[in-house]
Amino acid sequence: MWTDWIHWLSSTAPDELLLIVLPLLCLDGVRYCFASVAMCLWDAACGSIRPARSPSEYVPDVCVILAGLNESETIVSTLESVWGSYPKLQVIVVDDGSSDGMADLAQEFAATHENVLVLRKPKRGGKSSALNFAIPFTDADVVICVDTDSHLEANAIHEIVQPFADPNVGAVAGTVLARNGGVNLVSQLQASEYLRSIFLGRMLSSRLGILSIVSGAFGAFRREAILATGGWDVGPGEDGDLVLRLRKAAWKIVHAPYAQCLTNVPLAWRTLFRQRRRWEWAIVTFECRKHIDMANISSPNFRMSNLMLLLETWIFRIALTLVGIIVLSWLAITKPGLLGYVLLTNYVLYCVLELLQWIVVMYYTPKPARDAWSIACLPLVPAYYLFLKFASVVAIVEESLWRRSYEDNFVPVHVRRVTWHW
Amino acid sequence: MALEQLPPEPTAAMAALRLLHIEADDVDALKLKLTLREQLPADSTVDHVSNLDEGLEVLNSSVYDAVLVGLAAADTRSLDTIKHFTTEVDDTPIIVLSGDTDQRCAVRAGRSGASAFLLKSGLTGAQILGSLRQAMHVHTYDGELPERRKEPRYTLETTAVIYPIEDDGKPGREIAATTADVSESGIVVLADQDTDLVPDICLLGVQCPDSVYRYATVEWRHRRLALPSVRFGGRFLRRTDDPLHVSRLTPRFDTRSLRFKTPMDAAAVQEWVARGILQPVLVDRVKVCPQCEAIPTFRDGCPACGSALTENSKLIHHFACAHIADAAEFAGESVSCPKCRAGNLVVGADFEHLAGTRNCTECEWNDTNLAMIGECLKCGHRFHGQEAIDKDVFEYYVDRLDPLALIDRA
Repeated sequence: MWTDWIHWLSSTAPDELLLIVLPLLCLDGVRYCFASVAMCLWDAACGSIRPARSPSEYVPDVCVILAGLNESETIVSTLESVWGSYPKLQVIVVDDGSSDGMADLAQEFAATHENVLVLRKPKRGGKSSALNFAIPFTDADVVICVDTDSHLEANAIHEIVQPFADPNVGAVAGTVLARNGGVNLVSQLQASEYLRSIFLGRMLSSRLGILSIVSGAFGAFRREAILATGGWDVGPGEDGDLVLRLRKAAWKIVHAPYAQCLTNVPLAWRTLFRQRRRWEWAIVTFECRKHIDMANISSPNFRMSNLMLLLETWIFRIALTLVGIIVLSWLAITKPGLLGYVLLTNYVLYCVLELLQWIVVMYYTPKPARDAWSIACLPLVPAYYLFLKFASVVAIVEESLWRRSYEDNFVPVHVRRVTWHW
Repeated sequence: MALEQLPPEPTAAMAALRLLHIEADDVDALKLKLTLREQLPADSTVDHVSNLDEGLEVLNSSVYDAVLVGLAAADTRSLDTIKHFTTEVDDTPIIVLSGDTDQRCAVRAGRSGASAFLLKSGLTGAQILGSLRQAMHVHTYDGELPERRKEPRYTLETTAVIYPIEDDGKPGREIAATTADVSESGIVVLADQDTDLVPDICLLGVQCPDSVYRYATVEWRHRRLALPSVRFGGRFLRRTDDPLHVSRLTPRFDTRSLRFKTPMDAAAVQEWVARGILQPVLVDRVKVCPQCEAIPTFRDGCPACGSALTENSKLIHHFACAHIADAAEFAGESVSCPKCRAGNLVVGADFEHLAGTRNCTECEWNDTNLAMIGECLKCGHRFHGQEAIDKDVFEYYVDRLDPLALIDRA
């Protein structure tokens, strides 16, 4: 097959070949690879040395909120990684109606550690209400959300609060990396993806001013901004929704690439599919319905960056994904013999683009030895992204047609029954 | 050697006797002593006093097997006195020795309560001994020998020390002593000490076979010269009349001072501890007021002012928009959400109540965690729980002397 492919490549006219690879080059190529390569070359030309620690010494009061449900196995280790890692730190653990003794374990930790508060919600209300429950109990300038199964790297809190020295910054996204990346192929691929999409991708989005997501696993918010925008709304996708509301309120959203947090990723394909499907529902729910007013040019709150953000989602993540499926389907029907070569050509090209991005990651990462291994699964990355695209398409279709997210148990039934169905 | 009741006929060797001879005439007293010297069993003693009053005093503090009362000839007044004497001493046989040959005198002596009447002239030791045996056998108290007389006494010589117990409960200067004999209820010691300097109640330490001193509280009943020493005879105090009874050494909560203290004065206790007599045993450790060391009460309270009067603010969680805020923010004509403006909210269906921060009603404090506050019940001082002082509570014990163990040794 390889020889046939090479033969086909050599026999295909360059303009025809360009036509085959142009969609990939113009879409993911431009959007991810070329942009990140350009950023890297620019930083290299400017002599920008990757700092191990931010030079500024902004030290605001910080409150870390650990909201979780039935996380008794990981809550103590998370608390241990958080407590004491920052001088002016308050920790609030919110137990969202757990039945496995998570709050008791947290209370035991709180009994022997200062400034740790444990709040218990008698009834499960969902992650949004759990996070909002902590807000009245803190006066900190910055509120940081950390998943209860996560582990903060050294200086993570220090790194993530530095951008708040700019009073216009409303939220800062940290870098979430896979903690259990070496367990199996699924986790390795996710670990590689997190490096590329979260570490590098958000760095680029932040530079371009179109960052639209601050992960709930590790994200920092100015408390004043949270209070002004009413805190988290009912999810799923509550983290992205809050960021969009902050953007609409003219707050800046930035990324702190060296504020790193390790979290557990799904280890099974089915679990991964369900997770990504839940994440992708938010594209329709928030960026096509709830916050479509960001595209209203006549609105007094209109900002071009918000419009660019919406366009990026509509075009790259929705329209072109669907177009790509249609084109591939057409090829499969009309030119089945060509389909294989087209897919293989794009697959190889994708690998090359991934390799370029891997080089950029190596330039920026503070731990090259830790992250270099991700090259090992590079040949499988394009297939992996196809899988994710499939989950994305499923999510887009079912959310658009049936509002599937309002049937998901991520939000308790008594909440999703009364919340707005956008 | 145990003391046993004498058989009517002398079939076995008689145990040692303790006799009290009351005789105003010293010559007669000496004669009797010489007469009895060959007849009495080994280790018997004959103590001499000059008059009945002195005899009563001695009998109150010591136990004798019999009393020999000497009368002068035609001393009718003495017989009347003897009647009073026998009434006072009803647990010891009394033998009257008289110089009056008149039989009427003998009858009157019998009617006065004496056990036997002997004429002094021509009296032999055998006669005296026979009368003694008879009198001791016949003399009973309600059909049995008095307990005091049933109790055997054992000779025991061992090192002892006397600790006078002063009026304030503190120990006085210790006095070296030697034990003489012991019974289950009393002990006799010899000490080189002025009797006036030894109070009635003392703590007696006796060196036991394991060379350890063990102690008993003793009330001295008699003190007599036993040259070159003084003979102290007393009974063991075992109940609450013992100043060092365990009930006085066990700490109790004193409702006036609100402290744990022993009934015995603390200064006295420490004196005894310093002498090595009382051994402290830690029984508890309590938290006390840092100001006056009285017992406080502990409760959750305001960290700022220590008040227990705090209130929980109420929060409302609106399900539809996940908004959580103070209930006051939802107040209006109906319960309305300040975030999404939804009105007419119904508890349970649309929202739930949650506990919020705490407010102190006595100061401006408003926060989440109450502090453990101590409030002294005596001086009213309020303090944080960690400022309380740990105070050890001790009870004390004395290594008590077991008379039975001493008797075994004797």
